[in-house]
Amino acid sequence: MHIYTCPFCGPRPETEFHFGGEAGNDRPDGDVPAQAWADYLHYRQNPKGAAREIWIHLTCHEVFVMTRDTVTMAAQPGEPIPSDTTDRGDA
Amino acid sequence: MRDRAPFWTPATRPEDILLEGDWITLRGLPPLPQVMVSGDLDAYRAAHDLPEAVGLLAEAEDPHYAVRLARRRMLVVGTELSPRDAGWSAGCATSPMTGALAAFEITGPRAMDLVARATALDPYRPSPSAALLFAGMQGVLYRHGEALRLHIDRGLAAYLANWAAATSLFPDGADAAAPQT
Repeated sequence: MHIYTCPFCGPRPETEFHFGGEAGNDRPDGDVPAQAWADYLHYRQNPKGAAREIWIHLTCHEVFVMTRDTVTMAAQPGEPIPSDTTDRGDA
Repeated sequence: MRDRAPFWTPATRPEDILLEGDWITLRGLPPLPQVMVSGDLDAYRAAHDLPEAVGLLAEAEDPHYAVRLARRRMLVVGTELSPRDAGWSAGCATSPMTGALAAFEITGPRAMDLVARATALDPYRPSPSAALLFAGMQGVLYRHGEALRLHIDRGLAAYLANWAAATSLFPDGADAAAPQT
């Protein structure tokens, strides 16, 4: 059993978390070439070693960034996502 | 039209569930008045004279108290809310949860053994949120007097009884967990 650390709740069992994808894979904005869409939709970095990933804590619904080593599986404590990246202000 | 009601297993009333083992008891409680509050929690607590919301396995005291579920969400227990009054007001969204969540009390010296079977979290490490996955279910767990209190979706009460009865903590639990007819 892995223990991941939610920025709000603290250390919790891995079963309380859900993987949300690679961090930094932002949706292309505006008129972009097909290759940019392909990169966004289909291609991943898959680094060997430290990987920054989006995770969701299912019990408190916190969405955060976690750095996880893909070789050793060691996970750093989760970091809150800065509010300016989730609130685009276009509502 | 053909009556298909007898086809379905009778629903288990949470308050009818009682499992007794060696040094442990799991008992369903009559429906507790509950309100889910989302938004500005401090403002809601000040307006309703509520104490600080308790976290995981922290002590809550009657007559009414709040249990923290998330950064901007808590469950208020002991306060009734009419569906007519539910909604968004003064920076908070309120929803009546009395019929949605069933409450159970786990008592006895081996109460924490049941928690150990249900989750791998560290019971000695405080957490600001009382929400957890308990035996695979979304739940809320805190202390109330001598007991542990667990809130789960009302529809999962029968599953909780069956799951607990299958543990070694309740040797005679299978009969007690059977649906009432």
